[in-house]
Amino acid sequence: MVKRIFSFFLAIILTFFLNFVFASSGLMQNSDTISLSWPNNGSNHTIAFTTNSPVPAAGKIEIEFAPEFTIPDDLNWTDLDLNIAGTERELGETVGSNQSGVEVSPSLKKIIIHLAQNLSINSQTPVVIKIGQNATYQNVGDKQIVNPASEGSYAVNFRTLDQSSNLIDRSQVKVAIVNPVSVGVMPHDIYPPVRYGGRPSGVLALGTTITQLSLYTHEPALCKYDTIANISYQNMRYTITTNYNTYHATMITGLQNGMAYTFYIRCVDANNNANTDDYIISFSIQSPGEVRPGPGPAGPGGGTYPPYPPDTAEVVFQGFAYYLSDITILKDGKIFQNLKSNDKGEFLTTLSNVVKGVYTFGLKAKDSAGRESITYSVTITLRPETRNTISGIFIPPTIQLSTNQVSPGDKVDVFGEATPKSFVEIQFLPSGQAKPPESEIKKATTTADLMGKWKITFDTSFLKAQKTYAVKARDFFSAKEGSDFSKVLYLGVGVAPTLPLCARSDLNKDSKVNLTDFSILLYWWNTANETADINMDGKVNLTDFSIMLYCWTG
Amino acid sequence: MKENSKFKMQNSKLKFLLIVFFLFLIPFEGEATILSLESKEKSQYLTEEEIIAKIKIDPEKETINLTRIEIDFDNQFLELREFNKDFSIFTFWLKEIDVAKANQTGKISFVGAIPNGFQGIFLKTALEANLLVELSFKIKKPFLKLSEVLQFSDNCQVFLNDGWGREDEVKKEMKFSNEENQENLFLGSGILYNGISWKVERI
Repeated sequence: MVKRIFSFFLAIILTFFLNFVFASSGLMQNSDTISLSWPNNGSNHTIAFTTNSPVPAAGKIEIEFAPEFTIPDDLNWTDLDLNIAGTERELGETVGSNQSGVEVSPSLKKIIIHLAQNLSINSQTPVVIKIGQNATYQNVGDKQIVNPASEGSYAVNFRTLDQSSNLIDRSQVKVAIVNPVSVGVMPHDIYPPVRYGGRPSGVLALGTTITQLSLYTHEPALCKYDTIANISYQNMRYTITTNYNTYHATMITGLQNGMAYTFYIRCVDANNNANTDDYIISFSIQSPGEVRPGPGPAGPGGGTYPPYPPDTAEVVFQGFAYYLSDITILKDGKIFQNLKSNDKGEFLTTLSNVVKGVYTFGLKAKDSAGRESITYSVTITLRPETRNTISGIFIPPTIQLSTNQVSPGDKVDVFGEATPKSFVEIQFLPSGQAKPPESEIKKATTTADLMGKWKITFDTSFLKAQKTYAVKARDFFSAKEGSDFSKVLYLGVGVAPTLPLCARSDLNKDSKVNLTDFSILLYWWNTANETADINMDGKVNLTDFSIMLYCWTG
Repeated sequence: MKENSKFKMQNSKLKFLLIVFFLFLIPFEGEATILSLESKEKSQYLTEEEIIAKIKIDPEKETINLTRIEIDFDNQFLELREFNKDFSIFTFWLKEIDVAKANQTGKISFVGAIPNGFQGIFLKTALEANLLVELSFKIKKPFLKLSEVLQFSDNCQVFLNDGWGREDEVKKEMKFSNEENQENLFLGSGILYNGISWKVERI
């Protein structure tokens, strides 16, 4: 009998038109609705968000899929629709005055929409992008992005950028990929959704009239609420979610000062397992005259912040670079974010929705003359739902020599940019010695000006002739508040200086040291290829790779 | 009065000699990268049990960017089941662990890299990250001491992020821990060298 019943097992699709949204900062009301969530299957994507800041004409919208997605090589603009503020926009292969260009990079898993020269997007504007067979405006799409091969939750990043590719807003959503569920004598799932992370709670600020009621479920579910306890899911009056989501939110309006509110929530999963008890979210609005601790960010029980996406964390970097300098943040060796420091050289940035895990972040700055600093590297573990602040970072100064070879006794100018008004120290060390004795290290100091520029004219009569010296700099405000050393440059005193190894690390000569160079190095691994043998010791090996890693620009 | 000052002089000479003597007793340890093999403390190692060994690195005051690790194990007593690199600090793996080959030869080797280098300034803070890989073994035959069947080989290499590809001196150690729930240790704040401060808080 059992055999017979099992033989009638029927695979049914439970996950069509699922939409899994996690709240995020930057872009708002983000979602990526996929038509089919089966692993390894083609699926249409409907991406929606609302801009927070305006995007200028000729700006960009960038969509980056997790590496596990496959974008067909022949997917192009004909498979996309772009709708801004309810109006369909013209797309094409290239950018025109009224036509936005679509760039598809299957290897980078990116689709970039270059906005038309006359097309800008205002703040608070809804944007919908359809990718796949759901695109119907100019052409009917016939290609689809293929889902990852295994079950799991996969990130899709959205970014808006200006015409110079500077980041404006961004956000991340997660798409759940699940296998079709079988049903038979023993249902696959007999448990109702677990509800957690309900917000808001505590006392909300005086004058709050609207707030977002939200919670999570451990599995995709539909949720409803009521203001009366013990109402069955079916009979609850108010709907929170109409699609199977793990994050559920709805706006509550008409709130009044001094009032307390309680909401009773129940959810049901795709197997029709409904909660039989209430999940309670309660809060009140501050009364006029009521004293609240503050100021400061709302902690647990305060404010109307949306719940933070689970399994992600926030990283805050604060520190000092140069006067109005461009700062780049690398994440695991790849460029992740660009920002600018202020006129005091200060910078502050928050990386939101970073998936928990171990990361190496690199911070580097470019000065007004286009010189790049060394990359300051930070390797940290991020635990879910934490804010990880690293402050007091001093990006080492930039450095340049007026010449790389001098006659003994000549003067050489050493200059660059540092944090405005910081002290700058330069050091000359005999090249090739890991730790030369202190007596052989020659030092000089100066102060960077209001725009961070510094210059030291050094008398080389203090140096030994027929030697190459390594020259480096650091800046500081006090003994306990300063940078590491800068890039190392080489000065030959009476001899030609040692060849700079970072220039040799750029194997394809594209002014970057990155994965492409690494790939070339691996191609020549264990050979004596002169190009890939960075330190010219006759073999391409780990030593060459270590030099390349030191010079990495991303 | 004179006697007293003579006594004082002798006393300070004695103190000086004692300080010099004790200074010589302190071992002079140069800076080196420490490779550690961490496992949960066990009073006995019985057949069919599982052992997890975490391979960690501490470059002390240096910055390193590339390591080649080789671990010897006695394949009469241990079988490598799998390895986990989910929380590894490596950005690139040049050579991954070959489980079948490791069990055949009794040698586990891997090579990993971190562009722009890894410095251990956040070790012993809530942001600590220094795991290279986690190894999972099955015990084939009982034994008494883990260090007798599992240790780093002499072929481990650590490269400094100095732009020259120089190797750092390597020290190896085995640590036994009794890991329990350390959830509360994951929050906090502190100040590090050069005025860098860190803070981890719940959102």
